[in-house]
Amino acid sequence: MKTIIEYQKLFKKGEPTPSDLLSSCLKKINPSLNAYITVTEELARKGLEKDIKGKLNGIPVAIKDNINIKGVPTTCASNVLKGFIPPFSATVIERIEKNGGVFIGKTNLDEFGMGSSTERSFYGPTRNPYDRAKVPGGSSGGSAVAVASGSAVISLGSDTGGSVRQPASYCGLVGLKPTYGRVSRYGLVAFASSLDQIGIIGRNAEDVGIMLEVIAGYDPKDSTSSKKELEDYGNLNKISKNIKIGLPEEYFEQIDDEVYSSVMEIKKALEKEGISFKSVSLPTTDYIIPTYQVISYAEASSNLARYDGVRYGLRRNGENFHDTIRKSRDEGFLPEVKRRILVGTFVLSSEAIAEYYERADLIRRLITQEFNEVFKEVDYLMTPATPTPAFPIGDRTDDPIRMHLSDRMTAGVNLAGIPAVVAPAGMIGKLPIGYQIIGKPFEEKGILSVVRLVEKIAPFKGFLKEVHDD
Amino acid sequence: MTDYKPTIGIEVHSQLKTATKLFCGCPVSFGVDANTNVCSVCLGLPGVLPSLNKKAVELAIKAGLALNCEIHTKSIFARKNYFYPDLPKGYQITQYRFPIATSGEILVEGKKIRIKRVHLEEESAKSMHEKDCSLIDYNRSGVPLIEIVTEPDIDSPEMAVAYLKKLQKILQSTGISGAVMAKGEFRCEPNISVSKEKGKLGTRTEVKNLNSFRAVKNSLTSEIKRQIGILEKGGIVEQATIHYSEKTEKTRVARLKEEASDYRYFPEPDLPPLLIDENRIREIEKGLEELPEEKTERYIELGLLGEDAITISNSKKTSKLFEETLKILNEPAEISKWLVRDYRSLNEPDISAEHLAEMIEMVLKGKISRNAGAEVLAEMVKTKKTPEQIVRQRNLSQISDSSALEQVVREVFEENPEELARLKAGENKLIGFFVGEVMKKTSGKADPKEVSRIVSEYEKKY
Amino acid sequence: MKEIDIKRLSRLANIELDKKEEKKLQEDINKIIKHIRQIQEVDVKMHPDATHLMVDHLPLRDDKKEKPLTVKEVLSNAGNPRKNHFTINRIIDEDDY
Repeated sequence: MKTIIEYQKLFKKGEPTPSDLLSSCLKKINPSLNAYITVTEELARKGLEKDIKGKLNGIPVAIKDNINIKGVPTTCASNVLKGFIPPFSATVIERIEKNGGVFIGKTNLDEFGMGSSTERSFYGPTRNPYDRAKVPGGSSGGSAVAVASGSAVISLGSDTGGSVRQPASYCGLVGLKPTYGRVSRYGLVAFASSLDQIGIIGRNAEDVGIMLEVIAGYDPKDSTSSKKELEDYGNLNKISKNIKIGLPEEYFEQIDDEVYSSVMEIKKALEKEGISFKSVSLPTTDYIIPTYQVISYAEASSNLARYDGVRYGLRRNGENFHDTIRKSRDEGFLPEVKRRILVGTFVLSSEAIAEYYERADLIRRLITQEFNEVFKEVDYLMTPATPTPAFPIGDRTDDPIRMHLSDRMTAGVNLAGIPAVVAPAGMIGKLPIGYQIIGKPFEEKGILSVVRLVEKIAPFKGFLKEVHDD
Repeated sequence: MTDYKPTIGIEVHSQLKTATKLFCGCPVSFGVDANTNVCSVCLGLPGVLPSLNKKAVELAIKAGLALNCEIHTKSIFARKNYFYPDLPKGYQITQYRFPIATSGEILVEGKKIRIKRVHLEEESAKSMHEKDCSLIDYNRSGVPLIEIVTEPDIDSPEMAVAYLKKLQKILQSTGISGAVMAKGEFRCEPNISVSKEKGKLGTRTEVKNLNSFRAVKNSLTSEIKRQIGILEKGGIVEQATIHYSEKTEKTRVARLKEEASDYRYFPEPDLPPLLIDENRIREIEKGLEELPEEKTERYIELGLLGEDAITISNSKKTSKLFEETLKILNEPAEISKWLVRDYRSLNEPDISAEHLAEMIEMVLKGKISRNAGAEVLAEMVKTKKTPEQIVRQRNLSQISDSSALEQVVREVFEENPEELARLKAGENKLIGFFVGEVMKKTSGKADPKEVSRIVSEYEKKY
Repeated sequence: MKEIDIKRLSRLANIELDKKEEKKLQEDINKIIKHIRQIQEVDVKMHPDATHLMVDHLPLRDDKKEKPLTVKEVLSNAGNPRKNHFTINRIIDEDDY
């Protein structure tokens, strides 16, 4: 397995050339996995011709299909965006281009980011390369599979309640959700504006850090983006051994025994290096899922109101304007999205808003406060990434509550706006399982450094051969 | 019919005079080809985010200040959710619970009309109708608007028009908005109810689609009649939207408000709170000029003569001095006299309000004569000395002591027996002559008012 | 607990639902709401201040013109544009706006 930096060293020697790498990545695209909605070979080749020198020179990147690339269809895995081609690129896309990265394709997702399995896609489910009968996780399942199966060196996803981290766990990869505001959201199709962040899925911490250096930073087009200075996120080899890592007891409840042991293995390895662990408590953990649901569904119901077929997308003509919109949206959205829009509409409605939306906002602040408090005692938190490894396709599709189970570990981080990274802890049978490191706001370098240390002392042995033998 | 009193409140939407739209850099212009001033943001494409126009904020603050509102250093944008062809995102970004300005007022024909709030919001697109479909042009989508809402303080269609005209003038003269109704830059939506009982309001209806002041007057007059008609027959006025037709000059009930739309307002997650620096507000306030007419009205209320009020308010410098002096010495009429005559004839020099007040007070208290006051003023301008110093140095204090003056008056009477006889015979204008003689004798130091009084009294005795 | 009025919600959200969908969604949504109601147990009297927002004030954009999209780009995703406009059903209820 090669890192981005290693590839670039090899490019200088011409073995392989960027074009060779691109071709080999394209060959590894396995249609049966259904990771891609659109493969953009021509676009990638054109990018290589430009040969822009930069941190990502010659590196094929997969992009979740809810991030706009100018001139390339954006579907969000939804029929409602049928035929839509954006006339602009997301800020992160422009930054990757400026750094020489090339785009291999738009990857599959749960419709509009709403789901945890990449099954709820108009384009069919994506399959986990470790076990075709299992989900890759979601909603950034396509991006995770692209990297895990070797067809992309690194990918971008989006994380609203865990959508980058959970697939990373299920696919043996490193998945980072940055601090809210660290990466511009301009050009990311909004699901829940106050929770969404563009995230990175890669093979290792250094690659992810390099990509973060490229895409992070203030963007005047995104009023919620932070002006805080950037760090050298790819430089991860220095880490203080005096750090204290907290283990929130609530995150270790309701998980498989094997998941518990895998995470404990990582803990042991870090303890050997002199890092100390401490048990902490986050009592609001039980309220994470319902709070996340209320806020994300409410914002989604508003963000998705623009899909009316007037300016773009699917249109089914009705008798009058409202009828046309209703028919278009009925046909355009899959059931999960409809569910969430309707619930979101409900929690914002005048008779319910105080009890639901406004209350959820208060609980959100409590959750955030709790994290702030705990970070006074410890530097980072370590938790399992998911309560189980990848589950079977079809297992949870029809259960709106069970689908959120893994969100318990991940959504608290989105509610509080803090950064978190998931990395492989080990294998449970054929399936990878991840651990999660959570940090204070803007601590991306710190949490990635912990992952880097683990990579050195307890390297993951579960890469698929398409990646391993690369 | 006359027992029913109308109560009117008005909502005005005014387009701000900015170069670009509220949340994107698209140009704002009138009369250009359809869909030529549109970008991904104002088209509401997937993935776009709003970016707030600085100038729009400043103009909104200016509007709030011009309407004597309290400007809030923290205000919050909100989403108003509903579906309509001219609304690209399916929601409008506006301000709801925390607008930029509240609690203002303006005077309309002497009556105080309270301004409930002023807030920023984005404009919707424009639609045109063909036989078989409607056409949408997004050039207007996202243009910055301020919404100005009054309390229901307006009590007649005529006053409503007066309010609108005044508001329009304020917005135009301060450069906040072109406010041309015909261009759609100034839209008003009055709401109106009638009631016989004092303190109790009737059911309100809203009047829409008004494109001229005349339409405002006619529609409100017509609606008052309609509502009274219903009530007199013992019926109930239902909440409704009223449409006015320019052609027929009649109003009709367009839509009953059965179910108020649930706009599901919530704070806009894409925009952090708008924080405004106090200093910035002061700066904008400085740049804001009160309309001369405003000032004039205000001064007349204070008791100035109309002519004097106009003279003072038409000069920034003089009116500033007037107001500052007034803060120290509450004698508006008196101060205005000095400003209109002596100060103006000196060509509006730089003097301090404190000194001016001091001088005027001395005259009022009789410490110096009016003439002496004029001298002091002239000297103040030349030398920058204080009135006290000048009076002392030039020995200008007046003799007001009546016994001393009586003495002088007696002397003058004795020296001018002929004139005294004529005065006693009824030629009262000779009082002035005697006052003049006393002034000569006292080298101008006598208080002429007092002298005049003494002369009038004494001539009877002689 | 009052039954969620799904007809009203589908009207507000402008999504047409057939009878079958309505029924299924009604069940699902009832389930979800029941689950969400847990948040009413939490004691929030303290009114905490902490926020996810890492930006404490809204940055302002200079009032400088930027190049808009070309008309072609604007209409590029439109179904059937006419006279450089987007088309929709004839608006009959010439409302307020």
